[in-house]
Amino acid sequence: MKVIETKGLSKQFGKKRVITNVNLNVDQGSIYGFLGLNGAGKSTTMRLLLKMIRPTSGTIFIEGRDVATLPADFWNQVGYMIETPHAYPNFTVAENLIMYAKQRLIPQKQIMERISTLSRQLLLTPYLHAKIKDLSLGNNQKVGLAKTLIHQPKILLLDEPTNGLDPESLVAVRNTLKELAANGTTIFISSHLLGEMEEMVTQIGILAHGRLLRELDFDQFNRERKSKLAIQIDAKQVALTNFLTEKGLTVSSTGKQLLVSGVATADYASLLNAIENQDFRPTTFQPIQEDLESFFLRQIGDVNNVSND
Amino acid sequence: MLAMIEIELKKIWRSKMPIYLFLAFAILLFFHIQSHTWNDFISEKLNWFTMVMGMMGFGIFSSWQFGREYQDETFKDLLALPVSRNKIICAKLVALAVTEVLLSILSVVWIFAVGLFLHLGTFHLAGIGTQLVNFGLSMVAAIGLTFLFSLIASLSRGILAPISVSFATLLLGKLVAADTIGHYFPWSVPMLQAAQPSSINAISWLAVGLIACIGVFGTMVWWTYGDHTD
Repeated sequence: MKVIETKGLSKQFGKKRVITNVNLNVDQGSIYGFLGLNGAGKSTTMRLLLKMIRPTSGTIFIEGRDVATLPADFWNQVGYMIETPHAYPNFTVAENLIMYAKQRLIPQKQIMERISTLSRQLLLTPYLHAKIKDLSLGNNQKVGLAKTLIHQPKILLLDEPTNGLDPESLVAVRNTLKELAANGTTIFISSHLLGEMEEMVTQIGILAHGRLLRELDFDQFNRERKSKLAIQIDAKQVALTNFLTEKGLTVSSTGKQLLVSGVATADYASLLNAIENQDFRPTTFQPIQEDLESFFLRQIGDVNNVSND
Repeated sequence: MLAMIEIELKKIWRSKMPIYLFLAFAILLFFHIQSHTWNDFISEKLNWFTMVMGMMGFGIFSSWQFGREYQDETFKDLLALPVSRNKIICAKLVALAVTEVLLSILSVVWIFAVGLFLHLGTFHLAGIGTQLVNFGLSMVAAIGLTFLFSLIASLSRGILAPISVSFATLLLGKLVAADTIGHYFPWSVPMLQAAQPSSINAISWLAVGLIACIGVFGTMVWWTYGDHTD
């Protein structure tokens, strides 16, 4: 079931077109990584999904219902954090969370219990009585996440949620999000930490210049990502490079290691034989899979090349 | 709705803004005391309160209440709640009005306390009662007018523009009040209602009502239909 779906979504500010004909399909229980360079239109898309701004054209459906006609109480199913989270600086963390929980109409009896659970999960407990203005960027981020999760939403929209987090908190947030998705929460997330995203996402959407360039699930990404061969050799490096180039392969060199692309997985064994028959003695010969970051840059690069042409 | 009003009141009082405004007025009250009778003293200070607090202080206050949500970027948290944006605006405006009424009452009590301290002689209840009624009406007008600054703060996404406009309206109000058409100019009405209530008529109140409506409904429309970017 599609939890978030957009059809022909476009947004123009004055004469500037920011989003063009975006068709998103976010499945229930998925962690949808929404990737794009700065200024690609990710935050604008999130604002459109939250009805903070109105589309110039196109329709947004959440759980099959047109966002334009959703009643206010529907928003209790949605938690969101758009760009840097902000809270009232003169209030403590606990006061901010209580206030936000009340705005979310959470019954008084449950508020403290939820704050306590979330603080433990997000490693916020020591800061509950600190004022927001005295918190570090990372802890502010965690307060933002706690606000997002306090009403136990079914849908989460998170824009750069891991900004400024230390490694321990990063793992805590990742685990929390994975656990939520496993329990059926749909998470739509954007981040520039693509290594972190690769650990979590089940669907990927790539936005470039306001257009949705690709939308694929993780299996498809696995099939499409390219692999390279890393060959390390102590001597005759130039000769091996020439040998591989003559075979029509692309070779780049990083120190003693050669990175060879253009080899099909099935041909690895025969290539190794050919190399050894030529009396080259590689110390390592191993395939390296393209990571999400490289895959993303390749996709973006293809578009940039086309638009530059 | 009550929960939302309670939250807005908490935001206002925790900011200490009303306390600062009251303290500023309480201290300034001691300056330039010329009256020697209760009636003159009350009249002088209530007029002065209308101008300094009612027109300027409340203007700053209203600008701040909406502008701070943009300055602190907390407005984003108010846009997709299970409560309609209109209710949020209503809660904000009610909290604003309640605080301004409380500030007015507190200031009147302070004026009387200072009067007692100054040993101003015989107290004529009837005359002072009329002055208080006129003061109450002038505060109603002043509070109504401040709603426009909520709209300006929302449109300009900050505090500076509405505060600048509130200063401009104070100056204009003071200037135009002296003119024959003063009672038609909304920002002169609170001052005239306090000082020369006989010059105020139905059109004066219509003008104030119109500005208040533009403020309230304009803010609601903007929050509901505007594009909320940074």
